[in-house]
Amino acid sequence: MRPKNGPPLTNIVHKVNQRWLYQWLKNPKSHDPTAQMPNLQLEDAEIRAIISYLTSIADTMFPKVSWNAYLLKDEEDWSDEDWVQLDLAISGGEKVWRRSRCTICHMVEGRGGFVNVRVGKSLSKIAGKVKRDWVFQWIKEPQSYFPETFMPRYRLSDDLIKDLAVYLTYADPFLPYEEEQENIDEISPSLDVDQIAFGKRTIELSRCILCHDVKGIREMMPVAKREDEPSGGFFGLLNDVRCLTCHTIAGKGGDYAPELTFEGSKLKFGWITDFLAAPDIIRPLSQQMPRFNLTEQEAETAARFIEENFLRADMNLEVTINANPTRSKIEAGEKIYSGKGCHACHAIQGEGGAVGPDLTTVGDRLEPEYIFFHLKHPNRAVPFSPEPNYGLSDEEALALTYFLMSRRKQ
Amino acid sequence: MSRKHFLFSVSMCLCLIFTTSASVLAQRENRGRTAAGSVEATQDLQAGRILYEKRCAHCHGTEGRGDGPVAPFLDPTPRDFTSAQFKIRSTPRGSLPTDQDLFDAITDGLPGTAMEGWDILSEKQGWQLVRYIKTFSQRFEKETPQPINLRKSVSVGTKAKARGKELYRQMKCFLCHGEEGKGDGPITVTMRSVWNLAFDARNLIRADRYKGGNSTEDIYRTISTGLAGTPMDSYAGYMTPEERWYLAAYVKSLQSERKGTAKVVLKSRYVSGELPIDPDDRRWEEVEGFAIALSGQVINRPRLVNHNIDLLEVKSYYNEGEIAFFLEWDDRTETREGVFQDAVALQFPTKIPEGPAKPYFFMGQPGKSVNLWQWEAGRDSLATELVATGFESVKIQPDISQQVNAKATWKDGRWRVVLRRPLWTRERSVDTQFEKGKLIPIAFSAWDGANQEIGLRKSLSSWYYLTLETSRATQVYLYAFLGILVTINLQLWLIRKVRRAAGITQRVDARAAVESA
Repeated sequence: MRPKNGPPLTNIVHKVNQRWLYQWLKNPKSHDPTAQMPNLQLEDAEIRAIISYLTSIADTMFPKVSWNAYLLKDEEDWSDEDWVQLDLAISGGEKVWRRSRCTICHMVEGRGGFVNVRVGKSLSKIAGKVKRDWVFQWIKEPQSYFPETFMPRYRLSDDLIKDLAVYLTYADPFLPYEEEQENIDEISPSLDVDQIAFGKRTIELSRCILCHDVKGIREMMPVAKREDEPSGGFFGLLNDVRCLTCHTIAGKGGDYAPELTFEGSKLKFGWITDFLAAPDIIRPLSQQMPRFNLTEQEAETAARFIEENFLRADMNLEVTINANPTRSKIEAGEKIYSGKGCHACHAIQGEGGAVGPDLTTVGDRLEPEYIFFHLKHPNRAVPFSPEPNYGLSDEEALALTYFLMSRRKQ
Repeated sequence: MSRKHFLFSVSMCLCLIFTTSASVLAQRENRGRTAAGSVEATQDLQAGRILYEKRCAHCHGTEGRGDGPVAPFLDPTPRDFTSAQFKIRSTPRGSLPTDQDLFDAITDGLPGTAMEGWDILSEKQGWQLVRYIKTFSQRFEKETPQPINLRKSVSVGTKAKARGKELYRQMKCFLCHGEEGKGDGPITVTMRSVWNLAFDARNLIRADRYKGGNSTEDIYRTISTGLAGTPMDSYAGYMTPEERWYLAAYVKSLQSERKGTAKVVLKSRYVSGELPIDPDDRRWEEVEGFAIALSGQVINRPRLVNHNIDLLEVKSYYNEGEIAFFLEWDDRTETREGVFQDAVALQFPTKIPEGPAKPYFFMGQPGKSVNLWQWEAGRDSLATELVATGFESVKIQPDISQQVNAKATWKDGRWRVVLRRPLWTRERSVDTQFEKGKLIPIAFSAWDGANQEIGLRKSLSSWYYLTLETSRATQVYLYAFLGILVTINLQLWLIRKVRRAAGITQRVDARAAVESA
């Protein structure tokens, strides 16, 4: 029992322009050499019939977006002001693109696409493929089009989404090659009843339903039932933002980003909340989390759940950590910090190395118990970390802990 | 009353009595028969249940859900009877199978699966099982399946096959089954290689693997009824019965009788001059070899229960200095990169045994090592020589002792590989030395990368024998013939000599006898 490999096709004609659809059905690899769809060797008449059928099953009402006036005109009729508006929109969209870190999953111009070959297709030439209205809906609510998508819901304002959509459909990296850029004609599909029936028959014989849900086509193999997805609380967020695409929790998920199973013991509630709302750079040389624009409330809900449940049971601290250490203790810790050479890998206030996380505000981020545990057993705290085990005594570790606890945002 | 009337009424009464008592008796008898009938039915059900729990439950589960203890090791998995979805039926799509369908499945089995034909059961036992199996789904109580018409309505000669070939294209059979029916159509190849799904469109060439039988009638039935729960759906809605017969005839014409040999000795033929080292060399078509049946390696973990490669064809030539083996097998996908690659290996005992005792066929044993020649698709023209004394102690030979060369091509779903090595090497302690006129044990292994086969997850064979044909046959006969001639002449000369020495010939004696008379 498995879910389907490909996206549902019910509204495909709202998503892509028909010329692209024709080319794709004729030979998927002509659009994308890494396409995971086989070449079905369809004849011209069959492709046209399939497009007719797909047009007939699409929703008649697809949400329309209120674009700015200039976008609804032909490019030839644009005034200079319109072009300026376009530039503004593109640069606005680019900012959103950067903050959202789309290239983690999507490859563009040969770069990016780190997570998994199944997650996120290449966006090169995307401007020649998708319709702008669809892009808006997709970014706004991905699961409304494709319930099993890995794409998170970014919680952007409508204006920002519009800018992003303009960026994706007008900026250079996404434009199809010169020779494909001529006027994209619509292949006006005939909605004649016989043509639609022929299209349906072709789809049935070509076994499209093995990978795609197609409205009106009978299933042939057992398909995994779609689980009812949670909508509220922590699990609702997990499902909406698709954290498990990159993170692992209790053995389930991806391995691009750190494992979260024990982060409740490690991270402070306040820090988690702030981070989820506006992710900071923790490890300068490593991956960077996208900005999902979670609200304060959502961030707090997630942080609370993590604090209460994602705990590790093996820290076994045998010392008590004073919440307000004295100045002399902190200074003792500072001596150990420089004595052991920690700044070779860690930076504090811009001084030090970039191998390990920046420790400038580590006191805001890490729980004191975790800091002590980590200093005593670095390789149990972080498997495969390059941090050496200095064999610190409890006293030394405690002093160092007090020093690090006091590294906070002033 | 007159006498006539009296007799008449008596006879009427008697008739009445007779008929009523007869009908009463008959009813009683009938009731008895029905009672006996249902007793018999219950007995049959009981017997069926006992048979089922003895023979079937290990795979199909005690409740018929296909979840018996053996089920996790099987591919394809055993039927879940509670779903009432049966693949091999003579009834239309969505219908239950007939009792005969179930009986046939039990007694003929499904080739290529763990469901063997249960011919140790008597006919009565088979029907008892059918009765019991029907209790697993309530649908059997409510529905009476009607078989479709399976009588051939057209003649299936050459014209039929040509029309069938057109239909094969029009119905898009090639998408899953491939242009030539090898089960390598674009959908199958994509599902297996890109999506890592065990998508099993039948290789139509392998007649021995059709689950529901491989006659034209069987093919017609499958096309018409579809295999429930698979993409091989019923095509009754797309073709007339005549068209389905044409298509069945065409599919039947694709079949070939290839299967594992019953022979044991592979003869390597002598050539003077260069050995054919390219798989495309014409000379490979001039020598005979045979097909080896391979099975999945299920002796030790990690086991391979759903092996892909089950037939390997092998031929061999040798010359004064070297020996070459030509290996050929079906593989839908060419996998040259990544962790799991297509591969094949030959195995020989390091020391050719004098008697029948050979090293353990599964990679040797301590004290009786085997010499392995392993070729992997990623290394293309290089093969690795290894030595093993058991599957846990396998060592790659040092560089100087690597002497096996390879040449391989993959085309249209078939690998063809030639492995070549000198007959004699310096490393006698690890390498097999190929002596003429001896029976040299040989065994085979193969891997299909697309099925994630690697290491011990492989298909393998047991020991066969290889012999290097000697070419002195004619000389032997010549010498023998000359020897006989010489001996006869010698004997005749000896006889003449003895006779002369005795002084008397037969003729002289006879004349003397006559004259003296």
